[in-house]
Amino acid sequence: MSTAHHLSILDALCRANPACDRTRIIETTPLLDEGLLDSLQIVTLIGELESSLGCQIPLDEVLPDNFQHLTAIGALVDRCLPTNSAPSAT
Amino acid sequence: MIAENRSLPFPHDVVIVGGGPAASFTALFLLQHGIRPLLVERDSFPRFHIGESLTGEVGGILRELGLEADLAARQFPIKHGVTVYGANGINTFWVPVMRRQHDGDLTSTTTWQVRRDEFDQFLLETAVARGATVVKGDADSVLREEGAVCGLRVKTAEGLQEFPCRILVDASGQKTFLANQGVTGPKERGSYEKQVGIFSRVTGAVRDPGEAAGNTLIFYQEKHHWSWFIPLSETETSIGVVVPGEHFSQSGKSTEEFLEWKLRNLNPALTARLQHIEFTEPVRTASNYSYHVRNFTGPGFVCVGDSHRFTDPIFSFGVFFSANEAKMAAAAIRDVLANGTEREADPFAEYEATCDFGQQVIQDVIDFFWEYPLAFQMMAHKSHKGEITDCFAGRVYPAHQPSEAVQTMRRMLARVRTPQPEPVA
Ligand SMILES: Cc1cc2nc3c(=O)[nH]c(=O)nc-3n(C[C@H](O)[C@H](O)[C@H](O)COP(=O)(O)OP(=O)(O)OC[C@H]3O[C@@H](n4cnc5c(N)ncnc54)[C@H](O)[C@@H]3O)c2cc1C
Repeated sequence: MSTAHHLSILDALCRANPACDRTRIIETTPLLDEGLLDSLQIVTLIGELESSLGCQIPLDEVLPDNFQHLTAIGALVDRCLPTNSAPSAT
Repeated sequence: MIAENRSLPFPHDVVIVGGGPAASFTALFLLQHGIRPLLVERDSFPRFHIGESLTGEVGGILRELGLEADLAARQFPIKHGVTVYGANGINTFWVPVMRRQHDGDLTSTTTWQVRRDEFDQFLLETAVARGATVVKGDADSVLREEGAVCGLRVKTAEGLQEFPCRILVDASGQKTFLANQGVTGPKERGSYEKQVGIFSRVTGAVRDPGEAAGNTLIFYQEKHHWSWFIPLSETETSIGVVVPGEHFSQSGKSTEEFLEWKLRNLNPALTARLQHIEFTEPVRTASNYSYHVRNFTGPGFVCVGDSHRFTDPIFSFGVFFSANEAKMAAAAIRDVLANGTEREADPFAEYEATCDFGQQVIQDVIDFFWEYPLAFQMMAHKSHKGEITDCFAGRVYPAHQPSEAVQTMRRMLARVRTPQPEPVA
């Protein structure tokens, strides 16, 4: 995941759940297990990711595994970006 | 009555097994077509029954039958929608009671929460007041002639009585009378048959304020663990938990202990509302409630409502199917009686296919909700809002389905389902 994406995803996460403390979230923080993202916040997060990063997340990808932590969300975003604007690898 | 000058003495063209919603709605719609049925109910009404939250479409059918003022007079709580609480008890999503106007626009409407003892008695009495006859008795067996059903044998206080008829309607609910008789296909297990519902009524539960006081609340804990909160009067609330049967049996608790325990730990938002409750009814259970019956229509017979299928109570579709199928069955019966085709091989084939189709759409929605809760919320709130609302507004039949949303659900469900026969279009 690119650093730019990492920051955009963190921003989107904090907009979806304003109670998130961004200074305490690292790549592998278990977002679902720690109650930092629930199902409705995931719906909001998807909207945020789509509008800020230009990705299109299909329903088939709206699975808990893809929202476990920032790394998983980053991989999801990478898969769902239009191919011609794929981000550079970290 | 349609059949007056026939040689056989059929005092009633139509005999109905049962006196619940499927039976009474069928009777009320038949009466609108000028057909006066005989209903056979074994219980003395009023009697307790679960299934208290009505969908918007049932509200529409009750209005269509001219019953709105009576329901208002009984002060059944008015339901504007359902609030579903996520597992943390903080986040919620709201499903308003909606209907489609003739121009296709979705508009808010209301329906009722009903005390089924009173509601079922009211419907049955209304059917009688409009011209139906009720016999108290236990449907025992069917009369047959040349492979066709042509009547019902009933155990009454006076002994066994026979009621010949041209068409027998099975509205016996979970008892699946015709399946037990071997007239239809056998009762087959449904996807939720390992679930158990444990429920009672309480006073002192905290409702939402104002207009929202009558709404249904659903509390989600985890896959297949959930609870309902249905206001039934100013003071009483129906409370139930639904969990896998194994979870209940492994707890080692009595039903009473289990219910109280789950109400304390299922969802924090539920617990907060139940701090000062008192139980006003015994704790009851429902298990093995998920099943279906194939070939549920044929020469001289037709099943309506729970007598052929019930999936799961999560979205309160039980009485909806009873009412809607009753309306469709009554229209089909009118035509079959008028054409004299009741002894043909498949007089109700179209009705049967339409019922299966609608029930399958809702089964898909329920399965999808449990298998893909995140994608379900995504669809309900973002990608397919109108189409999901349509399902809840009762647009589940071939004129409107399968929508793109339902097709997507089926595609995703195909990955996790063991192969099933395709629903009949
Ligand atoms: C836990 C649970 C919760 C539910 N919650 C809801 C809800 O919130 N909303 C909703 O819409 N639905 C709900 N349902 C479903 C709802 O209860 C049923 O779908 C509905 O009652 C079906 O109506 P019916 O007329 O087909 O059957 P029933 O209401 O069961 O009526 C059948 C009648 O037939 C009579 N009968 C049976 N056998 C015979 C016989 N041999 N002779 C004479 N009479 C006979 C019975 O005495 C009964 O009165 C729930 C179901 C369960 C299990």
